[in-house]
Amino acid sequence: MNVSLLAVLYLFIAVTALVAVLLEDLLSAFITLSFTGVLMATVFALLRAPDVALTQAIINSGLVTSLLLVAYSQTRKTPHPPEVCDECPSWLQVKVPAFVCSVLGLLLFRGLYSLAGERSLPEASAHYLARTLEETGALNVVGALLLDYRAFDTLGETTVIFAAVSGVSILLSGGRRVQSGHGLSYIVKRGMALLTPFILLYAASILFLGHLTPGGGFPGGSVFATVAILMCVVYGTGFEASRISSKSKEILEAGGAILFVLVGLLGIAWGAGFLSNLPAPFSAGTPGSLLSAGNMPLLNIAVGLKVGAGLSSIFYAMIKILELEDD
Amino acid sequence: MLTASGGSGVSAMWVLSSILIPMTAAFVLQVLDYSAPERMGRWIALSAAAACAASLGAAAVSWTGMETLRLGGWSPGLGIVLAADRMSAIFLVISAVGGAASARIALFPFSKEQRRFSGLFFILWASLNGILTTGDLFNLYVFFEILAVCAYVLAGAAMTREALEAGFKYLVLGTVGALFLLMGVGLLYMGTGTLNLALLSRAAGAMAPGALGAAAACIVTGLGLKIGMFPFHFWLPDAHSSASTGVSMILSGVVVKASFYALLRIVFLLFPSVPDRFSVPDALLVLGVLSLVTGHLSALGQFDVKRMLAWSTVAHMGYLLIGAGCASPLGIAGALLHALNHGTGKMGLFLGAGSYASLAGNRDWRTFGSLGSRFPLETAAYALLAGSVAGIPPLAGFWSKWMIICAAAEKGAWIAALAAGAGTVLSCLYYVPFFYSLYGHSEADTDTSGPGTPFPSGMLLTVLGASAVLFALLYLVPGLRDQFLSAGSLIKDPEIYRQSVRAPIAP
Amino acid sequence: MVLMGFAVSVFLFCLGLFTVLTRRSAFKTVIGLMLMESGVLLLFVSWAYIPGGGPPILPLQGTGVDPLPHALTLTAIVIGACDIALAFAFIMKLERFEKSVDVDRFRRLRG
Repeated sequence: MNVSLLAVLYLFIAVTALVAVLLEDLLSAFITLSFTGVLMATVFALLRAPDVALTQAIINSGLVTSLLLVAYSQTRKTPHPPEVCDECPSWLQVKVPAFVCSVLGLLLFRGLYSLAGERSLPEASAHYLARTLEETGALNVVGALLLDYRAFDTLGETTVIFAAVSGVSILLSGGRRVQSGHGLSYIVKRGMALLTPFILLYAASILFLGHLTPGGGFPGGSVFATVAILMCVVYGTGFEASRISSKSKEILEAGGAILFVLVGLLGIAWGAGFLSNLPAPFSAGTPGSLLSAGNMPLLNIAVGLKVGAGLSSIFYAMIKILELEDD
Repeated sequence: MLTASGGSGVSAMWVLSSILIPMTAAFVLQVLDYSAPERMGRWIALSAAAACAASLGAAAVSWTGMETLRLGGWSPGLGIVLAADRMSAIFLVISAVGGAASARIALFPFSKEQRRFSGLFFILWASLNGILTTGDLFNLYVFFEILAVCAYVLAGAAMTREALEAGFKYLVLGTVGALFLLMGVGLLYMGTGTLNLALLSRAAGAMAPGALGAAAACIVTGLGLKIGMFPFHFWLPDAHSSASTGVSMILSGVVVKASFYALLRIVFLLFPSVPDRFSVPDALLVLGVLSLVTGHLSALGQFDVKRMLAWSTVAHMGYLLIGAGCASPLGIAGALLHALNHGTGKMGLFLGAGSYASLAGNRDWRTFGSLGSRFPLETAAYALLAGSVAGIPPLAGFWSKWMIICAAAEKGAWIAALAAGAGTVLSCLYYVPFFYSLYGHSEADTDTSGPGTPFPSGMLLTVLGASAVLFALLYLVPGLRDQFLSAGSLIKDPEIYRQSVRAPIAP
Repeated sequence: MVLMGFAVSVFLFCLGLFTVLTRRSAFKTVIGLMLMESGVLLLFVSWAYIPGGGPPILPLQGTGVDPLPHALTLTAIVIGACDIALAFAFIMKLERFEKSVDVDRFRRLRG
């Protein structure tokens, strides 16, 4: 593993983060932050974490940046506040927080330093790497962790998405009729039409093969959401809303969550416990095939529905407000 | 495969259902709204009753013996375990009562726009129960995040400028807290290789002290932000006062208590007190005194009744922290009883405040003039609640404060004991003018409601007021008092917890 | 090498906290939160790396890296994105009320 490459990437991450904080112009700061996210995804990939790299790139660098840009374009007419507060005393402004953060940094680093050294895998992790195939039927160990060993956490995670979507809808409830945007130019529209099937195929492959290769419900669903976002941007929100209405998105989202709980309850019905996989009547199948690993493909679909419908609802709710402003 | 100990599989199911029932209700309600919108009110009432019953059932089974449930059938080292003991049981009761009372106020009468709001409310309830029953550190973090997202939105849902600002502030500080908590979780994992609380409890002692200290600092900071502990309390007065009445009730009554539960559990399992050295419980003692003083002093100058009550919550979290910081069975039991008393008491106080405010047309208590004489029964109940929360004998709040003061004195923390005692005096200083004004001696006497308007939610207020008297029995009746003390002593002996979860990984 | 990762992640965490504490634009506050989150994520993943290990996909060639922090990091990414999206919704709504994104104006609630 190329240590010097990693070192260069780390350096760039630190530098771009600092630049993003110090830049006055918000748009440049956002692009720089997105770049930091991409660098981090690269580092994750180099550190042998493909699932994480994929999810980081799609969600943090892609989706969150697009949400950031929508929120920013809503507020571009408001005057940008000066960076520092004039009335506050200068020591309170920068020196005290800088001191506090430095002390915190030293404390944390000292703690971490004592942890570095000769390391081996913890007992549980060694177990996961050795026994995942026979205990869950999956090839992707991280996927097995998320959907079998620690599936309850994933249920919680989908609930966070549900809560966030509800929250954004409550906060940004408009009331007036949406005036659809016109989208981008003809060339972009045609280009997008050519690309869309491939992007959808890519999303489906990440999602459905999540128990075999890096990916799973979260990155897969996010790419589906990205398609919806691209359609909004390229063709206008009216087009996107006519393809999948908000109501269907809500039902898909709730449906994904209910599916997850139902699969879990099936385990109880068979006497094996909530969210049991192989002990319940789910077969392991042949390792490496699409229909293997018990209930994991089902759970992946449930998660993908939730994430895809949820994230695209959030984007749609935000961009709707934007268009209300314009009339 | 289902449970490790403490009862059959069926009783452990109560614990799981206390989380699943409200969660599923939230999901199903969203879909139901499309098919049968006119019956939503009935469905919501049903769901709230079911969630309350599930929480009470979980409390009952956990009280009789510690319940553990291995989710997915995996052993504690590999998967997530739910673990609920007596301490969880007490907080589950608070969750049940608080959730039901707040649901009654916040969700009825049901209007079409409230669909999403009701979903968030039930998810909040589910996440509260999740925090109270989980035995896994990262699972705790996930449930805290669910709780947080719901709380931010519910606080801002009143959609006034005030509420939105409060919600945003809560969001920023809450997210910083969550990230500190995550950092602490990461440090603990790195030092021990496990996320299960029981296994961590065994392994934490062997961790490098620098890392353990950093982890403790991060976790106390993170949870302190959620509790409203000094110096992280800045969001609490805004968020709890700007929210609508039902939301204030559940935020002040239950949400901060659940965060306190998490702090208790983590501190006493992972960072227990070490004699002769400044350890985490001692830090909690100091921060508790600071919270108490800040809260009471800030409440003194408030004319907005809800803001006054919110600052009082900051002070009462200080009492809980002092009780926890004493690290003795008496102190912990006092904190638990006080959590129960303050939970129900503060809910009643917010409920009454909301009713008075809607009758008078504004939240300034100086204008509550003739309301006291117009509604004698409800105001008497309100006075009982205020007295209990302030700590006036022989009401319930006095006894829990007394336990905390005794525990502090036993430990030799005289400043803490004095502060706790002074707190009662300070509370009276701001409650007395409030009641003075309520009984007709106010400067402005605006009463925008007509002569025949009934007191909103008077029945519920009276019921909660009765609790101020009833819960005193929990201390005065020796049998009941010993039960509480037993819950307190569980904290001091983490071995019981560890045994019940039954540590070793299946080979 | 793991120390390098630790140093960068602590730097990101503290830089993020500094930004939240000192910058006046609400957007900068959100950037600070994202940086704090990135710091924690980098910490988890750089800890998970075992020298010579391969990605946690079976069948393994040789040893693998620690898969548990990867799962935790994935969860944290999604949760963080939800928090940030909610923050944007608040900012957008507040901007309509206040006509500004100045965090100091948001702190008008005092006492």
